[in-house]
Amino acid sequence: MAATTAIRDIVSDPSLLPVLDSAAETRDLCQKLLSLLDPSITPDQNAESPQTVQKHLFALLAQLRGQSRDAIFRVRDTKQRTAEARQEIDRLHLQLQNLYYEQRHLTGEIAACESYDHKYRSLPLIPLEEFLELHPEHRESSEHELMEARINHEHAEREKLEQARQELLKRKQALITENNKRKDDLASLDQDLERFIDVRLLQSLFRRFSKRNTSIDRIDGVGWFHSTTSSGFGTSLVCIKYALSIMSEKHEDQGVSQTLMTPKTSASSLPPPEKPSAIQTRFRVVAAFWAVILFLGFPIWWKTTSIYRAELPLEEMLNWAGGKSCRPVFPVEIRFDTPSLPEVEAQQLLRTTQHTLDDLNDFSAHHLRLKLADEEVQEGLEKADTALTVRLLAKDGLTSPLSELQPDTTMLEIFYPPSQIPPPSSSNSPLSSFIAGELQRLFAEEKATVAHILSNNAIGTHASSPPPQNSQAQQISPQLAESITKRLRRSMKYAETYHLTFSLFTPGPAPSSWDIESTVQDYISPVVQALSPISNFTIDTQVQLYATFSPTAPAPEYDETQSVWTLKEENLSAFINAAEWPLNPSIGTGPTINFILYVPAPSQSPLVVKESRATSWIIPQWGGVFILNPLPPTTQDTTPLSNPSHLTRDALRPAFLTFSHQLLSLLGTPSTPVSLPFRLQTLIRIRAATLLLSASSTMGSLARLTESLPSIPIPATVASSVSITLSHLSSSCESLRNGRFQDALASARVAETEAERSFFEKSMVGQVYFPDEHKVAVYLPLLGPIGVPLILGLLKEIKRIVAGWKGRKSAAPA
Amino acid sequence: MRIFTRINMLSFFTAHWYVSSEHTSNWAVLVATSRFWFNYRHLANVLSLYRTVKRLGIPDSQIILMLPDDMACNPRNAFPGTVYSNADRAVDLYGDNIEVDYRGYEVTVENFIRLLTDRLDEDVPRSKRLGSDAGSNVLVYMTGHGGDQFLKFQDAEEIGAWDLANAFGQMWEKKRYNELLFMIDTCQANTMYTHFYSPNIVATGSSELDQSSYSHHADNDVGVAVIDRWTYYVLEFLENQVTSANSKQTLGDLFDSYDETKIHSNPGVRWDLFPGGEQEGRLRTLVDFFGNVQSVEVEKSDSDEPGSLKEDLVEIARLVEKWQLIAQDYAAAGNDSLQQGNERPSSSYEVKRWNIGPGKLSEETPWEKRLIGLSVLGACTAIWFAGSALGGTLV
Repeated sequence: MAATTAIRDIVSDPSLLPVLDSAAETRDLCQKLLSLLDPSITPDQNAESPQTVQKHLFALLAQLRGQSRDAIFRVRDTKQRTAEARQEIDRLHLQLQNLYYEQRHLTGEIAACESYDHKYRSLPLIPLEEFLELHPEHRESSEHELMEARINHEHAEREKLEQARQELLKRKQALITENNKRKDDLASLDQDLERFIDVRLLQSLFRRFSKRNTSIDRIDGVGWFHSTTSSGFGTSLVCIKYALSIMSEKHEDQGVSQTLMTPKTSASSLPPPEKPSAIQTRFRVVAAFWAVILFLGFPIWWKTTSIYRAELPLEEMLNWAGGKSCRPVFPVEIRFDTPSLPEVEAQQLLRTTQHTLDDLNDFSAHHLRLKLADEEVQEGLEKADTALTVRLLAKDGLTSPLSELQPDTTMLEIFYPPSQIPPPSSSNSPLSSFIAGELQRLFAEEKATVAHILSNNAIGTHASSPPPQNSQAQQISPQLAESITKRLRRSMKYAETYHLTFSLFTPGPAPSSWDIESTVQDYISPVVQALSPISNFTIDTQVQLYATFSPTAPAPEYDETQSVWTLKEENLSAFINAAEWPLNPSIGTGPTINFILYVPAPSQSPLVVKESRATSWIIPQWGGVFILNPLPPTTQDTTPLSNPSHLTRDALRPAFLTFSHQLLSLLGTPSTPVSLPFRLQTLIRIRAATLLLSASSTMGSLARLTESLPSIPIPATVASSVSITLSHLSSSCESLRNGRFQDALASARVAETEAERSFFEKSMVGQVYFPDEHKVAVYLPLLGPIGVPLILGLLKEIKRIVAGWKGRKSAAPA
Repeated sequence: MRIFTRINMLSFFTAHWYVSSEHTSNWAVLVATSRFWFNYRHLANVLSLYRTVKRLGIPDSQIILMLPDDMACNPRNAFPGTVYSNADRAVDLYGDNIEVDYRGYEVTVENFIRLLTDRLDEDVPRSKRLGSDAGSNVLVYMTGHGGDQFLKFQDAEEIGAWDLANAFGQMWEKKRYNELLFMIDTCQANTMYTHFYSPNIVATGSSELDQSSYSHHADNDVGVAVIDRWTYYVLEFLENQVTSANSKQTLGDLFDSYDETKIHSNPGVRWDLFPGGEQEGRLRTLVDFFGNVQSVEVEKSDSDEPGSLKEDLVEIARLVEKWQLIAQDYAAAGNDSLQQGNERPSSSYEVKRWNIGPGKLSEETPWEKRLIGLSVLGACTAIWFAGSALGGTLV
């Protein structure tokens, strides 16, 4: 029950009260029904049956449902009404808000209006008192009206004033135009006036002139011009021109004075005139700069850019080269030893022989001079070298004379039958012609060689003028000429020192030693000693084992028929393995002459040249090769072939004799005649000639070089070398002329060495050539910016000085 | 009369000399002038030509090879120790056997001109000298980067056409060549020989004024161009046509083989300095310049002509005997005077032992120089002080 009461407290709506009642009744009925149904309670007999209670209950439930539906309907209704009412309230609230905003806006507007600052407040109105005096009727009116009236009044006043201003402007404009018009009038008047003045001037001038020349007194105006020009008075025309020129000058003067007057005010902005002391300083500055340039800069530039060129006697040098200073002659002296002849007869024989010789000789540079062995040397002349001694021996039993050249001396022995002594009267005899012929034959090769050398030298200078061919020239046989050219081509270039290198090459391990020192001593030293007047020699030796042919060289072939290994002649040049055999030692300055002793491997022995079966050959200008085939071991020897491990002096003998011969050939020793001393003497003469000519031509080259290349420096050492060369050349030439060939060769050697030294002077390599435009490109960027102000300054100073000087000059006479 | 006959004699030899204008030796000067890896082809050019002249017989002692850089040992070289001039890499130009005479920074204009004119120090070895003489045919080949009348050496300097002409002029003056073939492969190469004036020169170049010379092809593995076009085709001709030192191919044949469409520039030839001009020059064989004329003279031991080996041997043997006699006499005399029985016969021939002590490098005393320097310094300071003192008083 308590719950029911609590609900009743909450639900106060009267329309719900029946519902509550019904609900309570229904619950009671339910309780009743439940108790009826509870088996634990013993059913009350008089109680209603559950069915009726249930029916009752159902009725009540239906009622309750109906009430509940009603209640829900009512609730809905109430909600509807509530919502409508709220809407109304919202609307009203909104209206209220709008009103509030309107009010605020209006109050803002009012405040803005009240604070608005109108123009009229700042208008410069006439004071209130004055206005009231002017318009007393407003004295009583409100402030607003008063203000309005005042503003209106002001407006009216201002309009009136503006009108007045416009009128005044108009008048001003009119006045300006008037003014301009007047001004124009004035200007034209001015021109008229000037014209008028000119005419007056002319008239007066003319009047002066005409007073002198003509009787015309007075001519008027422009008409006068016409009359004079048309009437062609030349004098007057001149006069007019003169007058006009004067006039224009005058006019110009006026103009100048006018222009001078106007800018008088602007002249104050120019710098003040320079003080004389400033001018002086400037002059000194310019002078100082130029002094430094001229006395310091220019000499330094000159000194540093100039190339030192020593003075060379160019003319003399060219003369030597052209063969003008010295014509080499070879007066070969031959002594006659005539032990069996009286002196008179000997003299006679000598004379006739000389005569015959001179007739036979066709080459003036080389001639033979015959002298008696005991003939005294002339005073003042040194003794000439004797090239040959002719010993005349009478021998019975001969029908014709016989000659024999001693092979190891320079002596020609001639045996003659005693009957052939020429009688003193005869100019010719078989004996003398025989001797002459013999001598001619002996010296034929030497003569041809000398001629060849001289002609080769002449090519350079006289090549342009081919001399006429003559049959006499054919006296030299072509074979001889060829052998001479060949020999000259073969021989080494002259050098002060030659290095002789003897090399032993072998493809195997043996031979590994040789008796080289004693062999050289025995076989090479004599030749070297004999050649010592011509050059110096140094000797080196080497042994190279396992020296193989170059891989590209053709291998030797085996010749079955002769059981030898052969090398083809055309392959010999590839014999030397230049790449691997150490054959170009750099010893000192001179060239090396190589002598190669090749011992072939036992399997390729003996090795010979195929065509000629020779075992040695010369490589021109390089050296010689000798293939040494060791003697084959005894035929029965069956041990494996091997070379001897040591080469004895005897084994080396053929090789070194051949090397001596090759050395002679390589140095250009002539091949005839048989006598070696004689040939060496010939070699001395040939070498002297060669060196003389080569030193001369070097001098010529140097002279031409000096002339053609102005950019190369020529140090003083060159000049001294040249003077040494020239002095030695002339002494050499002198010695040649006197027949002292040893001296000539010695001098010529010095000359050649010095000439080479002077030509190949190390510092004579010219500066790299610069074209002139390159020089400009180097100098201009440097000197241009410096030079322009310096030169301009100098010019200005000069101008000033000249002007001052002129002024003083003109001032002086005045 | 005598003079007349002498002239006749001269004329004979003159005529003879002209007919046999032979040369007696061959020299080759092969110059590359540019450094650095990207100029690989220039060194390959020169090495190819080196190989050719060596193949045709000029020994190393007569080849002057100037290489300014070592491409074989360049770290960028993918094939270390080799240089190839063709992408097929068939021939290693470096091979086992090359002799470089001037290398690296020795390749300068000065050295080149000194080489040609032989104005070298006395201590320069003979392998670095051009030992040519009046009978030498000289081949001069140059390659590098060039321009109008100059050829750049290394990266620092250049040789002008004038310098080259003067060098050749001096060579001619000193008779250092008989005939000279000048070949140059560079841009505007033909301008380099325009100033030549000495005779007996045939000059040929790869391209005209304002023309470039191009490389032929590049090797992708090496990474750079390996040869220049003109050199490539010259070499092609030399390799295919001039197969031996006996080849009869002439200069004319080589110059006719120039194909401008292949070379991509106009090669030039200068004949006018050559005696006989183009007609005569065309007949010169290529081996006259690229080959070697080392003729040997075999000495027949059985011939009897004068000056032959046989006669000479007799002569020398006689000389030797005489010499031994003198030596014995001398030894005997020595024995008498010195009482030394077993002394070897001494002669003027002496065995030299080279014993060189340390040499002084400079001859002038350093004290002199120091004194001069000190006095100059002192003078300058004095001038300075005097100037400042004077200036002080003046101001």
